[in-house]
Amino acid sequence: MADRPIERLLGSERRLETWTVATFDVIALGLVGVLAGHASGALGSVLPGLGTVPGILAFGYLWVLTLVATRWVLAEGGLSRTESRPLGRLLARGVAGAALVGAAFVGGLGLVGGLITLAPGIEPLSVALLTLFGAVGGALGGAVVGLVLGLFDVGVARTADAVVGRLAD
Amino acid sequence: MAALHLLVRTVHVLGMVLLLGGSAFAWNALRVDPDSSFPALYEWLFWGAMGAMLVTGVGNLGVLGAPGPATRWGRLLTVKLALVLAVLLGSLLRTLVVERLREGDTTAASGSLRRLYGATTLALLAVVVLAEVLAHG
Repeated sequence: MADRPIERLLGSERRLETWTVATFDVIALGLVGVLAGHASGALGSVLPGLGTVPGILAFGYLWVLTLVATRWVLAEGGLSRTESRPLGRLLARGVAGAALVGAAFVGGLGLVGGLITLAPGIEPLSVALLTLFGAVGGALGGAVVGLVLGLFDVGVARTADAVVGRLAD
Repeated sequence: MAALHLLVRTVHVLGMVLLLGGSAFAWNALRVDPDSSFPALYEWLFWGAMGAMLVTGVGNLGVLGAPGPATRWGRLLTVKLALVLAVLLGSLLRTLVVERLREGDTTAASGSLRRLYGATTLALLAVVVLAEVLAHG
């Protein structure tokens, strides 16, 4: 039953690991962003301008993008130490997946935001350039976030391996 | 708009009911039956609920207005967010341990798993207490 919606999104193997790692990455990124915004005092001025529905839609979009990218990153093998894949290849795939997520997320938001606010005086070319530059910036930011979160995810997964190994002894 | 904000708050409260009640239930399920399959189900629900909690929590902050970081309310919010981050990190480890144990013998590890769910329950309870203080002083 490879055509079930959940399997199309998460794959047929390592579904719990894919669901967990992708959701953790999205939530951790959001939570660290909220904490940093709150600590700097910027949160109070940024949040009211976002709107509830656009915020929920943007978060859902990022969540789905991250699920699809995580499925692709883990398609060759999970995060466990017992998987035979070299760590460098896993991290490289994680950086590439996160760069694509960043490009699709920021570029997508730029495109939708540009189309919604497209006034008679604004050229469609401006929207296209906004989308393009947003996608490039998003890809660069996503690659950095992907490397940091990838290293963290692997570290926690290897810790889980060690905990399970100790429980088995 | 008021109905939407009420819906957001309701989802936030129900999400915490699922997180806290589920972890306590998982702790008890392992106490009664070391081979219980409920913990694996809970891990699926946990991450879905955490995602909903983040987006509705930020929505609540947007509606109520985020406090300045140096105010009493702001300091409490910092503590709550830091505690949620700690729960998040601990839960990633817990889920990956549960996932790996599902492939082997879980009976021998049920005591350790119970402690993990017990710790999750207590940490989430602390988050609830902080949320109550934030809401009602």
